[in-house]
Amino acid sequence: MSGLTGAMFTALSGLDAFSKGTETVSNNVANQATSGYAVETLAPQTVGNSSSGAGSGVLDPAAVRRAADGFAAARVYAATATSQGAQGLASALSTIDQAFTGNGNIHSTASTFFADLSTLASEPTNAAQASTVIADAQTLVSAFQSAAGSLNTQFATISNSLQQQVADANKLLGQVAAINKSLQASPNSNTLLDQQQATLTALAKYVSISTVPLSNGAVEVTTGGTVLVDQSGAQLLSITQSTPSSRPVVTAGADKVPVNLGNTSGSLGGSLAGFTATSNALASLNWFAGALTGLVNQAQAEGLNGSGKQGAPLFLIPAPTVTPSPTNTGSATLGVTITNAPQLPPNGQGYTLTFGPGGWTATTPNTNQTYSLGAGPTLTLNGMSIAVTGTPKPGDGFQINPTPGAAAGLALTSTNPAVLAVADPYAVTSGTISPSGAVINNNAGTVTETSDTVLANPTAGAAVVPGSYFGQSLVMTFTSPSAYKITTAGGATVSSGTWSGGTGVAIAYPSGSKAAGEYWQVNLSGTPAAGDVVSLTPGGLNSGSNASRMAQLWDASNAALPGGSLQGSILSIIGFNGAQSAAAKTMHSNSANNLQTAQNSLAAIAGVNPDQQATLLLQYQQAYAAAAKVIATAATMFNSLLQAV
Amino acid sequence: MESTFYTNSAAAFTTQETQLQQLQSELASGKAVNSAGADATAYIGAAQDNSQIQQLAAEQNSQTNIQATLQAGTSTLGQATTLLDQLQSIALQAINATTSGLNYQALSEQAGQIGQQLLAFANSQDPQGNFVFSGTAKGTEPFSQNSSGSVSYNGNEGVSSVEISPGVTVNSALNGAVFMDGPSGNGFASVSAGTTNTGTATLVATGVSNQATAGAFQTGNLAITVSFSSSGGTESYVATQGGIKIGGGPVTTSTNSAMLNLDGIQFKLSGAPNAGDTFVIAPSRPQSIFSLVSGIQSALSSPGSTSAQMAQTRQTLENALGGIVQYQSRFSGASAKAGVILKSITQSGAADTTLSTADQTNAAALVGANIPQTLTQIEQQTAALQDSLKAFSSVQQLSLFSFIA
Repeated sequence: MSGLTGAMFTALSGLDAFSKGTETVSNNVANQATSGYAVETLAPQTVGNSSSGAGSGVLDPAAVRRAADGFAAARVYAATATSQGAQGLASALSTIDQAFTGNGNIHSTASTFFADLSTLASEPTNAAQASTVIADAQTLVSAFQSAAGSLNTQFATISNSLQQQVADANKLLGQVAAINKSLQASPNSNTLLDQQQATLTALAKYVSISTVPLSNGAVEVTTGGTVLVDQSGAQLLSITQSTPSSRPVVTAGADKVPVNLGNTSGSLGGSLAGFTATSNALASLNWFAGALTGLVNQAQAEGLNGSGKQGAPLFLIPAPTVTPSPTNTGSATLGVTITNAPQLPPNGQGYTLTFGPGGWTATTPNTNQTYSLGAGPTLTLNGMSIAVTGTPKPGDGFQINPTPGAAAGLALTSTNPAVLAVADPYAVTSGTISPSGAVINNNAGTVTETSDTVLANPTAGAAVVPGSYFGQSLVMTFTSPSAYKITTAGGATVSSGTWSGGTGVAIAYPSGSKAAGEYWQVNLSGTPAAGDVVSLTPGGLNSGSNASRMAQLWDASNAALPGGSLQGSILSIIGFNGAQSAAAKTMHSNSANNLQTAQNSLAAIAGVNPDQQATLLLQYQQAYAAAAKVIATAATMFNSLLQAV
Repeated sequence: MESTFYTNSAAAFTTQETQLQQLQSELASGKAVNSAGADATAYIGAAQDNSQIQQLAAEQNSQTNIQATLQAGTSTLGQATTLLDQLQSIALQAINATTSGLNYQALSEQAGQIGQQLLAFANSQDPQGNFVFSGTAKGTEPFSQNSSGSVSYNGNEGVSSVEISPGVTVNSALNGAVFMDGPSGNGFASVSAGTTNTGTATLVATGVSNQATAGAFQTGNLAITVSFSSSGGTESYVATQGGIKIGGGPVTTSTNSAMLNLDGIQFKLSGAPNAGDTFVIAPSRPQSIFSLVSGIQSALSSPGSTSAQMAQTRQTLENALGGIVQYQSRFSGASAKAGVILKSITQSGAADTTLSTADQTNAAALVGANIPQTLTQIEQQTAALQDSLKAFSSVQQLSLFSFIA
């Protein structure tokens, strides 16, 4: 075709192409906010050259190109996963931080409890002050329960959220697989590719993904090396959790292949990391509850309560648990007793005990520190005594949790202020004490009490009274200025020896009590004369010495504790979680910035610029008008020709 | 404008508004750090400071409580010392009596009243109603008088430790030993005259010539008996201890006094002993102030009429004077001890206040909001947010479409 008819047809192909261009602009403008949409541009091509010189117009239909960039899109997927993971973890850690430092602040309530005990020491007869201390103890218990409650709630929240996230992710995996199938029918369809990108972006919020595009535009999706979508379809995720407090496991496909999710692997990874952080925080809180309980109860046993009895435990925590491994073949069972709570592993993870040819070995989870315990019927491990009954077989194992749920289960044994062991176990008086209570002092010497203290080992030279006589009235008689004997009211001699002066009498605490292994020592000064008598009577209920000792637990340096003291321990737990939370917050903020940068990069390539579209629209409009003019002109010319004929 | 312009602007507004919110909450709470997550080091530092502030406040309460008890104690001891001074002057009046018309009965009654007042002081209570001098049995009335008039101590000598300042622990319990355990006589020896003495002599322990020997006598159990005899107009004495003679010799009574030195202790012999008179020198033992006073009271109530009987009374009073001196020194010693604690409380109180203020300043520096700075930041942030909004509003109008007719 040539001449006027050719010009008309060529102009017509232009009309077609420019109307297609307008359609593209229209599509771009309409989809400028659509997720996954990549801007389309008209890519007109001339129809192949004709032999008669002039062109034959624009190829119809005109091609439309999709501005896709796989690399920029992959960056967005990765940044999305990281940002979502960081957000999940930061939110969990922020809850932990709040649990410790927000409502029911454990540190400040404990500080108040010990401060009020210190005041009670100065007014042991003040019932109101004793009630204040008990009220403080109750507040402290609630602070522990509130913190533990908030962490336990977080377990439930994360578990529910994980279920929801897995359901959402599975829906998206199914969509990716469906889009893959559609792409087989219409390879590289722009619309399908847009939908694919939108779905993958949504999926990257839940798990970090890597994609491998196929020639027809379909993708294979993997996460951490595990295939989620391949040509056969989607491997759906599922979640398993043995107990509400055990770490959930995410698996893929019918074969339940475990999916390796780090804390930057999407919201699933962030939630799992948050779960672990919550679990660790709760474990260390439980340990602290155990340590505080152990120390206070021990101090209680070091003194006398308002009824004149050796102090009973004030705080109560759930008993240790022993979980045998399901694969055990021997008949051994273990019975665990806490002997020194502060010495337990401060990460709160307890121990794993395994039996081998060399006897029992204990391992601290997380740190993997091991202790060889031998094969005896009673094993001694930091802070614990373990009784073995039955016969173990090599390979048998047990999980020991010394303070399970201690923070949530912490309770007061009594709210009666009289249970506080405020007083020293004994009062020392020169002379003998008659049955009526009157003091008869005929001492020629000058021996008097200077101070008293509780020690793990008596001072060298001190008179030592065995724990079986604890609580009995005792009489120390100096048979000479350099020799003493201590007798009970019944006349039995319970201790005797050489008196070297400058020391005192150390009375062991009874073996069954929480203070077993310690000694209450009274230091005596002065010089005795032969025949001098010093009486040690249980009571002296208005002494505040033991309250003073208990109050000092808070700040007393204790090398067994991670922060060097009881206060240091809780502050180190708070500090650790606070620093974790701060780091996660920073990570979240950084990752959000990274995500924005990645999104901007992708938008620069594939985004819709309305101004650009407006320009194109004008261009197509004017070109369309020009082409129409060509047809009109050709028609006029044709008419001229017809009239001339 | 691309759609990212809108999403980016929205994100920027959110960030700016979050920062503004943070600043506003800082201003409202006065705290820049509310949890360890905001700044772990600062939070922990402030937590430690606050805990110490609490401990210091508790210790200051303790100081107030102990102060009340100790002040009650020192004031009682001061009053008791005044009574002892009166007692001393009563005894001296009786010993030095030259007028036969001295009203011994009145003095005896005065001594009796002093005894009752001392008992009341010893049973004094602090403002909280606790007995001050009962050791750690603060609810037990420490001193009781039985039907025979003797007073017994029912408290103990227990210790009640109280921390009044970081690392400073004091014993807040005062006990009744201060009224009970004063040694008799001059602290080494207590002398009594034989009941059948006929002379006018008195024997009084006055001093110590050898501390070690005197100390050994005091802690021992063997009394010394001094017996007088007369041979050929010469008066002499023999001192025996446990059947063994430890001293002896002639006694010159012309000067009306002679010094005896026995077991490192010096004794002054006054007046004229008769042959056959004896004195028993016993090692000093704890003697309650009540029994001391009642001894003086009963001696004064029956001073006797013969010179020998009068000498017996003088002997009792002279010996009791030594006991009064012992108690005077015990009271002032106990008072000084309490005074030291009171002084240390005053010092600790000042130190604790300084420390507490330092803690508060430090805690505020760690977690407190810098108000002027926060206010400035709020101004800046608000201006920045307004500018961003303005910029957004003008930039979003830039659209080519609005120019296409």
